[in-house]
Amino acid sequence: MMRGWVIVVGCAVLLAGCQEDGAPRPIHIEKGVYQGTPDTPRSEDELRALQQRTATQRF
Amino acid sequence: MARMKFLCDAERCIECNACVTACKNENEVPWGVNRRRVVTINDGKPGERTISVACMHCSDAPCKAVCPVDCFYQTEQGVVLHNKDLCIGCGYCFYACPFGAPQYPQAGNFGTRGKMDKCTFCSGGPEEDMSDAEFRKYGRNRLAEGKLPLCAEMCSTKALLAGDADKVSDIYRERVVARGFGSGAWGWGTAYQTKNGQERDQLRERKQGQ
Repeated sequence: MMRGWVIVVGCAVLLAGCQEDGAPRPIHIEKGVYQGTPDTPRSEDELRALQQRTATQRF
Repeated sequence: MARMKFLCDAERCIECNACVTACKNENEVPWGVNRRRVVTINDGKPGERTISVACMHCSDAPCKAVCPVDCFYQTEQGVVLHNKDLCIGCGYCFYACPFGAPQYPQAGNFGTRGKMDKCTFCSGGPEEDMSDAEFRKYGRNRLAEGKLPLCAEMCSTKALLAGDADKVSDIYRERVVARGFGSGAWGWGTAYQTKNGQERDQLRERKQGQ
């Protein structure tokens, strides 16, 4: 009887680990779609500065 | 702004490996991983050339296409980056990459490779810009600091160029005109063009416009 309860509780714990909210990574994957943390985009000023810096490689 | 690209001028590369060292030092890349390598073609024969190779940040990246967990993304500037929290270290990207860019820090039991590591164009990853977490996982975020990849910036002969594709190709074009010949922008055809010679970026933009 006791062993049965242990198995039931064990299974419940394992199934709880499958919850999408608690999982550290996306469980449902949509092919070709990045579902991770979005990156910080570069501002216009930063891009302009990088463009100018690229031109300094000329020699 | 056009997209970010690398260009290695094989006529100028002197095989000093400074780009390799600079990359390893700047990003504190783990042992066994080289994000950038210097490759010699026709070693010891006439026409010997050396080129510096790393991730070329392809327009239509094959690594991104084959990744089973979609851990890759491309920034608006065309830099191909990946999320190490999502990577499962399967190695598919390594087989798909025409430049051998993806590297794995471990070779453990049961085929474990660890999280994939590759050149980030010195632009870190999805973590907060210039944070410790970003540096530990992906290395320095020089683009956020207003700088270009160190490998190119410290190249003594300026064989390795990096940055805005329009500017980079202008610089290379001027060199070819000045010396009267070119050695081909190595890797550009594979990374940025389709088989019929069209620029992949332009093709993608046209498709999106339809």
